[in-house]
Amino acid sequence: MIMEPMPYMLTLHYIVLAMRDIKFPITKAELLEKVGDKMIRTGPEAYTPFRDIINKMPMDEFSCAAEFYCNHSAS
Amino acid sequence: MIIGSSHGVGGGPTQTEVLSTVVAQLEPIHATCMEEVNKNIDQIIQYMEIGARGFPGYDLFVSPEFGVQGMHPLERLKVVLTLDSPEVGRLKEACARLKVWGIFGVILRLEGHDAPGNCAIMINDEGEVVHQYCKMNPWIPTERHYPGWECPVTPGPKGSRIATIVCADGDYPEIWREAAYNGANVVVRITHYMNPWEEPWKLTNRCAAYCNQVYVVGANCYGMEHACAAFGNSMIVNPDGNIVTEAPMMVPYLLKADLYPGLVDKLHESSTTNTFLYSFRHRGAACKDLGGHGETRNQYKAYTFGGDEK
Repeated sequence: MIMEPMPYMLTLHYIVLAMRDIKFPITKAELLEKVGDKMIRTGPEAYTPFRDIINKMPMDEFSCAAEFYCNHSAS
Repeated sequence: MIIGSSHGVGGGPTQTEVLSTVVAQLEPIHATCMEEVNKNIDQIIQYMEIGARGFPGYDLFVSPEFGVQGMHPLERLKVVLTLDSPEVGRLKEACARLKVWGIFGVILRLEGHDAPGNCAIMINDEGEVVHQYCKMNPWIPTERHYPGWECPVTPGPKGSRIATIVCADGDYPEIWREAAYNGANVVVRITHYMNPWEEPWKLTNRCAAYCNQVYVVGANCYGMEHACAAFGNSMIVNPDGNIVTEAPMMVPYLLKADLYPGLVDKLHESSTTNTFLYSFRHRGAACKDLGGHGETRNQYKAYTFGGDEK
């Protein structure tokens, strides 16, 4: 199989790694305090503060991981 | 254990207690009198004790539907019990003496109804009845018991939260979902499941475990009776739908497996994908239009009978 050039799409992987120590439910404020300063690789040469990613999420608390990741997709 | 193949447990370290579970696959007498009921109880207690010898320190004993009274087609109403009857008292005593929790299928008199209920009860390791469930989906038209009205979930040993369902209940996806929605991490299905439904038995147990991400403990009778054969094949299924262990067909058997209820809780808390118990109430939650929470309305006609709940 010849792999076509692919879009980056690895951000979620790096977010999951950054979230390893997080337990749910958790509020957005608590999350910002715990992991807000981490840098998430969002492109081959690009990094974004996790704080910026979290702040774009529409909800203020997350009952479980699924809700958090859906918020990421929906932001 | 194949957990991790289809349902990933995310997050950091996971702690869980171990629920050592013993399932009795037995052939009850279809009792016509209390003497025969007591013979059935003798058999159940014998299985409980064999479990204690073979698997010392086990936590939970599960016996099948009709294990106490059988299901005599004509004389069944002669052997209906109550929770304070001496026969149930023998089961309480056995649980307290062996220091194990037990789940038993008992036909019980129901307050305010002429017909009895086909019930599952759970007795704790101090001999107290802590859980009672009345079969919500009797196997009509053959079975004439009064149908149940709720699916309770009860804290059991070792971090388990246990729901019980009975036999034909398991042919209805909604009862499994109800049990999981109510918080169960272990759903115990006690049955007198018969031929020719050997494959549906496997399918329904495995599908329910996968779709609801819970352990399923299936305890079936074996043996010929008046109209059919219960085939055995008791089984314990992982939350990913894979069978942990299963008994052969048509033989007496004692099944044992260790369950990890905390793993189910962790699955529900931390999985990234395939989070069915979350996503069925938050359909399309990844869609930007729906603000991260998705569609939370129940738009299934099947669950509201088309809006007509009468």
